[in-house]
Amino acid sequence: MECDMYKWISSSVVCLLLCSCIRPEAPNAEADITACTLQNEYIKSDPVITNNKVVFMALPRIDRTTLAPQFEISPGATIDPPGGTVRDFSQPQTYRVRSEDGRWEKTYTLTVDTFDLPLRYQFEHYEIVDNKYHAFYESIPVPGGESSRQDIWASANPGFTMTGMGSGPEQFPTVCIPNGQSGRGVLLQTRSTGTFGSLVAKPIAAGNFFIGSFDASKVMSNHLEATRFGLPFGKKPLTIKGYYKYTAGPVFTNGQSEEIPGRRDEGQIYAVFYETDETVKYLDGTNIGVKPGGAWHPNILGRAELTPLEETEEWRYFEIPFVYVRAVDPEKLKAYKYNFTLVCSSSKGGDLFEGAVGSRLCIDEVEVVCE
Amino acid sequence: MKWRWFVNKQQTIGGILLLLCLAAGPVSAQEFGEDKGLVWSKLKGLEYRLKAGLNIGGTAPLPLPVEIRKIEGYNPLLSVSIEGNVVKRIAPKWAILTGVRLENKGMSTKARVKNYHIEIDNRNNDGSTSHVTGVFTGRVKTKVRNSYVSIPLMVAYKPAPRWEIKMGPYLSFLTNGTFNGNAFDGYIRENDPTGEKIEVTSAVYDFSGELKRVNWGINLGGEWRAYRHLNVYTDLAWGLNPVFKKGFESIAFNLYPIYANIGFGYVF
Repeated sequence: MECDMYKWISSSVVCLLLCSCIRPEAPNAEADITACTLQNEYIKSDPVITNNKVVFMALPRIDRTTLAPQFEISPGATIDPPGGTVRDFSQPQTYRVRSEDGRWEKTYTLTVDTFDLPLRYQFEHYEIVDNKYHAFYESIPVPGGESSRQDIWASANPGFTMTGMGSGPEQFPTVCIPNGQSGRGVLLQTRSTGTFGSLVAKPIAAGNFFIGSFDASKVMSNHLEATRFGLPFGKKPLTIKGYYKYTAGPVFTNGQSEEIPGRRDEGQIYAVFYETDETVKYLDGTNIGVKPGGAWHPNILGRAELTPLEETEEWRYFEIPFVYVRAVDPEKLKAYKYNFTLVCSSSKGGDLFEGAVGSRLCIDEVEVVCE
Repeated sequence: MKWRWFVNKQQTIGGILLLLCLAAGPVSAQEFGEDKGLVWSKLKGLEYRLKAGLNIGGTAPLPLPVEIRKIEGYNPLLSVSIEGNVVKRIAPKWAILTGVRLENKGMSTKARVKNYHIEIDNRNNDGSTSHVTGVFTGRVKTKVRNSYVSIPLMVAYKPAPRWEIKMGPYLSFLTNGTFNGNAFDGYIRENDPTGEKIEVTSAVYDFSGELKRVNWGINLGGEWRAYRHLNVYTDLAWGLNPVFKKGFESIAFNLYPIYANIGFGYVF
């Protein structure tokens, strides 16, 4: 009898253990391009890879008709057409990546961009990404009637999607508005990130908008590294001109969501011209700012910042001169060794999650005057 | 006082009262020989038991979903139980058993997960809510500490004079529940595995408010009478309804409390 009971108990224990076994790993479900290379002397820098785009910046002399990019993709995934296929990149080409388990597929657009950055930004062109948020781009007329698209503008919108707070494009921090100073314009608004944001101690999202790219994967871990500022620029900028409107939100809070009575939120518009080298391929949120004491990152040659940025409900014209601390080398300029960025934010302390929900900065008709 | 780990105040007080009531029996029995109440009880085929034990187990999905790749750590925490039983003999070898059990069921685990589905209701400052769904790959730490008042109802069979095996349903009322943890060292993809990838260094979660107040399941157990007044026992309590409320989707699979209770009992 005792024996029976032992059997009975041990078998139920074994049953429990068996049921609890770790099951065999399922085939990979991801379909990412994780890296991309293009062997060509005219490629200016590493490509920008987002969740569905790969963009190379190339010197205008490049022959784009016979290029064969190589890819690194998610383990087990397949890509069509495969890496090494020679294709004509006069127009962007698409690649389809299929996950190992075959259930997921993602289409990437690969662009080889040969244009210098434009000097006038009217913010007339945007797309709605994934039916969720606005993304601005520049449209450059090409001889022959067609126009070429340049995805030079970035914002934190791709990171904001994760909060679920954007119930429509207008709810996102960076929005295209129909009533700009002339035609459409940009609206940046500081938004709450709700409970999801508070789970990761990032209570607000300032509207931001800049030339460069945004690495959404970093927003929760190292958010300052998510904003990669600047793209190669072949001229020396002297002045930034444009129009803005700014109103601060009612309640200023710090990074811990505590109200700071009496403090008024501030907007921010600035431009930076810096040198790239082997170690500094771009500046990000950790090093683009002016350090306490007034020092700049050693790679920065010049800066222009609108100070003070006064509150105004009407469009106001601004003109901000570049201040240079180092001379520009014409050879490096020709070789596109310098990057340029223009950065706008509805809350100056947004990088530290300080600001007032409801602060609004509008920008339109920006022009970069160069030497 | 080492009682801090033991549930909330009401339960502690309840437990002490129960102990006192039952302890009163043997004291008076020693003073006056056989206690009248116990004699009466024995004539009626009734027996009383007081037990103290430990719960070891998990609040776990069954079978383990494919999303869980590795259990990297497990701690049963210190989960105690105190139980008072009334046993009514109905036949020479058969009895019915019921009682009250005050118990903790707890554990903490660390697991590595892949494409673990999550849904979170995001509350905005203005009171509006929005739904976030995604898949998480990385590490998850979970801590469960639930206090219950449970009522077992079992049929007991005596295959041998010192042995008893029992089985029957139980009903548990949650008096205090904690279910929280954090996700770290990984990334979330929005909606599905092709969505925007966002690295996560640490995100805390707390689903304590989503725990069901009532749980039920099956008890299976055995007792061995070591001495005249002392029993050694083990009970497996297999929860048959999930610990979270219906409609709760933050965790894609159901979790069931499955705990073994091991301890000693005093038989009056």
